Amino acid sequence: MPPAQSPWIYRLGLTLTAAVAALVLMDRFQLLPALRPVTTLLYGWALLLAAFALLLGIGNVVWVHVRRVQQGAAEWPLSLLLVGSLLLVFLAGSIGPGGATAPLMEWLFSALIGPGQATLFALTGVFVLIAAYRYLRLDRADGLWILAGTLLVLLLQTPSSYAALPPVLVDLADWLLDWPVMAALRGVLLGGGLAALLVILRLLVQRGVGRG
Amino acid sequence: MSSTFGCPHCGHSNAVEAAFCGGCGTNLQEIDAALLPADDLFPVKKKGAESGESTPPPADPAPPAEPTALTEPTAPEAPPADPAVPKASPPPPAPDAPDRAKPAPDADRVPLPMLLSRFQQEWRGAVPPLPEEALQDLAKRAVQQPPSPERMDDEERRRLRNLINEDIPLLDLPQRPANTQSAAQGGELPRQPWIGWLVVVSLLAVLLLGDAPATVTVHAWPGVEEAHTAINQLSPESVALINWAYDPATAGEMDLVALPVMEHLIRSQSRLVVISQLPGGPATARRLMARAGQQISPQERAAFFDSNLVEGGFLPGGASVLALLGQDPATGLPVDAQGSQTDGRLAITRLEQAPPALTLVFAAQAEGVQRWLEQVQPLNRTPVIAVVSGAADPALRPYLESGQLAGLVSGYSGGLAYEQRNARNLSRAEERLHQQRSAARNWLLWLVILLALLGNLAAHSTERGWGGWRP
Repeated sequence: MPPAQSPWIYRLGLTLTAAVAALVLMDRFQLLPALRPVTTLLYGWALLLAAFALLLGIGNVVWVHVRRVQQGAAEWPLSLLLVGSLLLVFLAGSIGPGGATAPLMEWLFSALIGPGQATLFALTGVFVLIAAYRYLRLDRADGLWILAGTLLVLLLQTPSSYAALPPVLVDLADWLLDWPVMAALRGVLLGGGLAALLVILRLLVQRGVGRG
Repeated sequence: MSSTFGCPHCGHSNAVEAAFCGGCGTNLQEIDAALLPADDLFPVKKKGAESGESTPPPADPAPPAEPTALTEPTAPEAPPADPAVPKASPPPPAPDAPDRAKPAPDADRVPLPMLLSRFQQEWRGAVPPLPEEALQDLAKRAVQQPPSPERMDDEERRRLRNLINEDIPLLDLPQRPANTQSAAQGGELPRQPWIGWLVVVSLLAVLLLGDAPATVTVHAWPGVEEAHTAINQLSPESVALINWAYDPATAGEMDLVALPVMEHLIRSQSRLVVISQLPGGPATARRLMARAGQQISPQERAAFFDSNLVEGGFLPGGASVLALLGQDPATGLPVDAQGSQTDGRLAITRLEQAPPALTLVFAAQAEGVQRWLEQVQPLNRTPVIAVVSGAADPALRPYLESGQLAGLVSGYSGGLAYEQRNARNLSRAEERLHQQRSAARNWLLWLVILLALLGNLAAHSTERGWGGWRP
């Protein structure tokens, strides 16, 4: 295998990662103001790398699907459609002075991409209604609370019912969101942050010892 | 040849088939057996061989093995060797591993792979070892799978994927068997295709027949008034940065929220720099700004699109490059490829001297705002207003309470409340549109209540025996 698989290279990459992370952390905590130009340079590199990774990803998609078409793999017509669409959009954007705002690009966005994405996302409404039928149950554990909270917030946000709600219920909904829900979400935010830190540390340490 | 050998890092005695050292976790498979036979290079250190402790004389009074070139010079006293290990006579020194006790005249001729291996072993000592169980597990897996390069590569990728995706073991809750859900728990109710048809018919009915009172009142959640005030305070010379974090998939709801805010921004005559980290974001922003521009006078519209709008475009890189916008926006923001917006470039350059007066994040999901608050705001200290979907509201409300958000406009209710604060006279078509939307919301609310009621009735009848009635 190429040297990229050797532990020594892994070590080098890990060391670089740790060094960059330390620099960024020190800059964030403003321990060394002179670090600011360095971290700005690093962020600029990250931006360039991200753009290059995007191009690399596009190239990889084209390569994989062209090979699928060549080999006549399962559902190869879909691969052909994907490559054709990609080339069409690329040509539409790169030929002509308009660039990304060229009329053909605008039409592709308005007539295909926008409606397609919106249609898929609109299915969420149907899923929500089916979930209301199947899972908003009074005799489920905690179902009463979920049902009561759902109905209260829905009633509050719906024009016809908001005007008819007594002020005490409006205040109750505000209180629910401001206290118990907010407390729970703050817990989620803190827990999520700690979990991310834990995963990163575990990755670094276990990576360093377990597999050389 | 003995069945164990010493670890090159700590001297611990390991079986020859061991993949990892039981003492320090060193990966023993990495030693190039072809180049340097392990038994020859790393002989087991006998108890007391270096510490000078008195030990029972071996049956074969062979001299203790001397450390070789790869033996750690500062290694602590060697752990006791396995008593089951037969005492072997000291191995002859390897030709490439001169005795370190006396300076080797040919030390500079040590092959490069050996030097790299030595560096690697020493470096590894800086990291604490894994627990014994984890090492045994890893060694077992390594023994089961011979170190073929391709297989190791796949295994490595799988391991990293699992490590990253694995749940953090916080609670060991017992798993509920999959088939124990009763009908009352929603487990046995069949999927009902008529629900889909009911939704379609309801929406059609709303579009064709639906109507609502001319005056629509909604609940104004906290944050709308603050957002309106912050935009009111923008001066015509100030620069506002807009992060567009939604695309056409969620534009159905988000446009309703964003339109009155954008209209207010255009009227403020401040300069807007719009960027997006979604490929479809810039085009979505252009459409909404065009719609908002229709609500203002031609002069205001011309002034906005000619000189006050800077389309920063698509910014790749996700959260990792957001910090660049906080530190050095002039470097991070892309400018139009044609270079036609010289004014825009100047506006962006102005951000280098002073941060934007206000930042607005238009996002369908809470993560879009959270990233900005975590990555950018601590660097430029700019007030942030979030314009988000209703689903993102609860997750962002703590940020509003803590003061990190200067304003929060969320969901259809938020957008409508904001529009009412704009105090603009609506056209008849707009009023009609508002009434239709309100009617649709009313219908869908009652549909949710109806379906929840039917679901409860169906479950109750299945449990209590109403002849298995199901809607």
